[in-house]
Amino acid sequence: MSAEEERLRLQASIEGLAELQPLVSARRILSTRQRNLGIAVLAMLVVGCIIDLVATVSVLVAIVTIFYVAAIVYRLALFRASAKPSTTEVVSDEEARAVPDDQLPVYTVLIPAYGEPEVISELIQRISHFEYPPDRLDVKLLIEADDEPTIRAIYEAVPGDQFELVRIPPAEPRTKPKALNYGLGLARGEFVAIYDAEDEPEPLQLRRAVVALRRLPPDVGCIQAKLGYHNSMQNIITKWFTIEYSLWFSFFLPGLASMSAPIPLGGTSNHFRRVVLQSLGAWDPFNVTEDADLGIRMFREGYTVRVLESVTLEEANSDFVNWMKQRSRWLKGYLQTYFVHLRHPNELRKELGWKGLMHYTMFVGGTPILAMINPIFWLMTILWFVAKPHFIEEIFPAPIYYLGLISWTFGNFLLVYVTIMSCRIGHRGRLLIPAMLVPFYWVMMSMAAVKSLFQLLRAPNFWEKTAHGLHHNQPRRQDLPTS
Amino acid sequence: MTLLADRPTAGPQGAPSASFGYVTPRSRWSRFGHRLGSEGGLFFLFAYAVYQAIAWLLDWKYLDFEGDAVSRVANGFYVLHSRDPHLGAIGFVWNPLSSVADIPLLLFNSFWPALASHDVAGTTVSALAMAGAVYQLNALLREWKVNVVPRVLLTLFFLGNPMILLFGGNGMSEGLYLFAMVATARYLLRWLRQDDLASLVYAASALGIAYLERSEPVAAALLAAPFVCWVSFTRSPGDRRSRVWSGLTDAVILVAPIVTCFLAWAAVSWVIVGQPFEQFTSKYGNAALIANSHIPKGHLSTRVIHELHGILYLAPALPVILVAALLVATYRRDAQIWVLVTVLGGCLGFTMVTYLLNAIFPWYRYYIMVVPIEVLLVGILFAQPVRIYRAGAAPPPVEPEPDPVAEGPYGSSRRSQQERRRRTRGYVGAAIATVVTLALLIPSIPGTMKGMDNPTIAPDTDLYFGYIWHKHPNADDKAAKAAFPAVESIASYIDKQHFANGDIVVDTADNCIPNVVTDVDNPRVFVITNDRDFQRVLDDPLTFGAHYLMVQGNGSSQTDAVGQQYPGIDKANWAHLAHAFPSEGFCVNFRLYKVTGHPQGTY
Repeated sequence: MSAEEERLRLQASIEGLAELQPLVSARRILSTRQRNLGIAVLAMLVVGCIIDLVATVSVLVAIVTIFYVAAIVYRLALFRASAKPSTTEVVSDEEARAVPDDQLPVYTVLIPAYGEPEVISELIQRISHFEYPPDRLDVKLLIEADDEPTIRAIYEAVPGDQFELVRIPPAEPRTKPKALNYGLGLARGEFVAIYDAEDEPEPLQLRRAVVALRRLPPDVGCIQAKLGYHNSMQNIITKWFTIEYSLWFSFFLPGLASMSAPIPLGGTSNHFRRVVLQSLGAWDPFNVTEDADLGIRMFREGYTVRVLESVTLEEANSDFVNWMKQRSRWLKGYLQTYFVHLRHPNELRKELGWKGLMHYTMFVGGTPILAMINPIFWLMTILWFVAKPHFIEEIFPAPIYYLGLISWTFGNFLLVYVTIMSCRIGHRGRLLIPAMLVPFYWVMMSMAAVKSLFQLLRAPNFWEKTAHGLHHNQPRRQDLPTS
Repeated sequence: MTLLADRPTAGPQGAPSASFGYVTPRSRWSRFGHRLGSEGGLFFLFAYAVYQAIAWLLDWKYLDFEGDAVSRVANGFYVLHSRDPHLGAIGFVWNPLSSVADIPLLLFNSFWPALASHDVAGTTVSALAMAGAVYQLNALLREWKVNVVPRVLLTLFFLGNPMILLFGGNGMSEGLYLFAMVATARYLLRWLRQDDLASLVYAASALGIAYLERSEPVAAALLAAPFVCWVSFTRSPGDRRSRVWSGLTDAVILVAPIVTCFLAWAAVSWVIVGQPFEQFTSKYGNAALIANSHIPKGHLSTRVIHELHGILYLAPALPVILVAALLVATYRRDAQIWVLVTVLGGCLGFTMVTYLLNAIFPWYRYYIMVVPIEVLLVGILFAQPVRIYRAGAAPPPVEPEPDPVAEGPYGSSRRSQQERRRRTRGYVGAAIATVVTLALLIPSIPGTMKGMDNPTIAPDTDLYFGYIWHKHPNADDKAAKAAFPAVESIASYIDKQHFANGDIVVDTADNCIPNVVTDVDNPRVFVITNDRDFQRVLDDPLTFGAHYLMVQGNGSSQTDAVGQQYPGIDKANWAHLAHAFPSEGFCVNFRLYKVTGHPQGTY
């Protein structure tokens, strides 16, 4: 590749979406209109507080309480919807192996990595053991050109011909989606899969994806494999993480799919049709949860996402600080995505429909916002039990008070109960104690949410890298999902 | 374990049902009508009609109200229509569900005052609830695949048992209690059979709701949890550790709702009245009331005999039924009997033990659990058994596929011969079941009636309802008959005086006053114990706008806070007797004092 070609490709991968669809690029967090609207609302609040502090706060409290109740009802509805017959695509081993090699398409596998010399060689080994003809594999290892340790590790691993080392010229923003865009520009395959450097996909996954995507209608733009953890029993954080994922893949994702809602994608083991991906403008390099954003954009253009019955094992974050970084990035990304797509609410509503808009608000917007507000209300509840200060009585008029009381007792109980139920369904009875302690996990999430808010205001496109390979010092204890 | 409950569903909305060769769209209304016309639906409607008829009789013809029923509906009434309407007025001494269930109907009390004064709200709710219990029992028998004739008989024996008839129509807590407990048993049995999470969750929810109604379900939870744990441990696949965890998780799933209800109720009570366990600590709770009552305590052995005597009246054939059920269940290694023992038997056991410990009153209604127990123990004799096997150790199903080659040319006729033989065996089995059901359960009807009529065995039913069927009314009957007229006369006196709001301070704990409060035109004239400022007004009535104190008896009654605070009110210089109500019915010795000064010193 000539230097000129490199520069053009780099520019396309950074600016591509911003030029194709400037309205949905996260380059700026808030559009001018949104910013002005935000300032106006803030001004109104200040004026309201000056005129009548109690009434203003009461109104805010009432709005939040109703939102809480709605969020709980929504999650329960998802839970119930998930009990319908499964919407996962099941491709049996025989079906997957039945396709003769010459009828398999070229499959592009994009693997962005940044500073991962420890794990990259394992990954190369695993991909070499994929049950897919190597001459039809187009594996692109997307490495930043100045990441010497990783490049050296790749050379030492002596990868086969299906691997191509793509050196991305160093440029801001240094994010995963920018790397993916760059790699997509060089892709040859009919289908595109994304994996992280530390992933362990099951060997037949690509074949299954081919079978599934071929038999599904063309409006299915992406099929998502299930994610699991190989170190789920390492410590309480990994156990909570495992519970969270099992809730997501066993309940919320099937529930969203069966309610035909826009689905935020998971960041790995996505299998796309390349034409769909390119027509959408691929990923947004300025969004730190580019997967969620892509999922929403897909839905807006009329494509759907399905789940593939195939597991990719990942490493669950076992370190508190690391977990914080990762989670605050996710929450920041959800907020980013939420505001970006809300720039033209009318169009959003036309493309999502009222139901889709509701799903979008409750899930993409609700998750970070509620996580941030939670600490305030928990503090108020504890204060109320202990000291019964008068001001709380004032800002909670009777109907809101009872609504709040019910949502606090009943709602929280239901969420913990649903968590315990999900452990049972996944035959993960061993996660019972962490499931009962999950409220402390919510506290952690609230801390991450507050951090994400600060980051959003100070450094919106900053991608906080998650450290991997922390499991290397631990004996491998896993708790595989059996259903 | 799957999430889906194995229930016959109508299929996705709008899906055609291909019956009789043409396509009929299944709209939501037609599905609803289908369910109403089904066996369960018809039983529910019939039972409701019967209990509602009894309720009408009690409320309007006989004007017969049991004290606790009136208190329940009054508590709901106070939340909405008292001088200080607030949710905390529901009261924290007794479990709240009956009162809360009455509140939706009581919202219309301004249009129809009889909802509270004639307990129509309470009796309607109990009629619906008891009909629900009938439905659940019938559904349970259907899921047991009991043949239709004995099944209908068993349901009728439950529906028509005199205790059930009475407590379906009288607004007491038994209706909701039986509904919740029979539902718990039904869903737990379904879980045993199907091993699906949804049934377990329904059972757990029913158990939690039952606690909000009565305290007995705590014992059921304590007994059922280890059973569920053991079943899950035995049935789960995997290594020993994960099986233990599966068992523990299922036990937690079963008891989480009831534990949460227990803790949440205690927490709410603590926040609102400052005490988490009012049912034990309050002076209006059972413990205090019994300690102060004049019920003779007697020896343990006497009480045991008394209890067994009462139970035998309810179910004379119970020893035979019990032995038969245990023998049959042991022979068939049917684990379902344990559900009945832990869930329903646990509740009955709680009642029996607390009575022996002298912690509850000797009311006959506490033994109402005997009725569904006897019916279901008879039913289990004809039920499809469920055995618990280790994972992978279950034997394959018995029905072999008909093999046309092996059968030969006469195979189909031989199969139809087998079918005919099976059907005949089915008829014979159903006939035996019918005869056994009749033999074991017919004696329970006259037995129950005799028990309810016996003043030693059943002081409550005999006292409150005896006058309806006694040919020669005794003193108690006369009092019960005069109860409502007495209430009405007090209420009409108060109405005529045109008191202002908050004029009369009175304790609402006894049997007469709640009915008066719900009967007067303006309930806000009363300052009642559930009002948040009750103690403050009682301490100094005149300063806080109250001019009258209503005192009962001679001031030593446990249920009269006013009298207890001012035992010497007769001789006080700050109050004088304004009116002494005649002692009629259950309104004994109520006196109205007019307050002219301040009780504490003179100022």
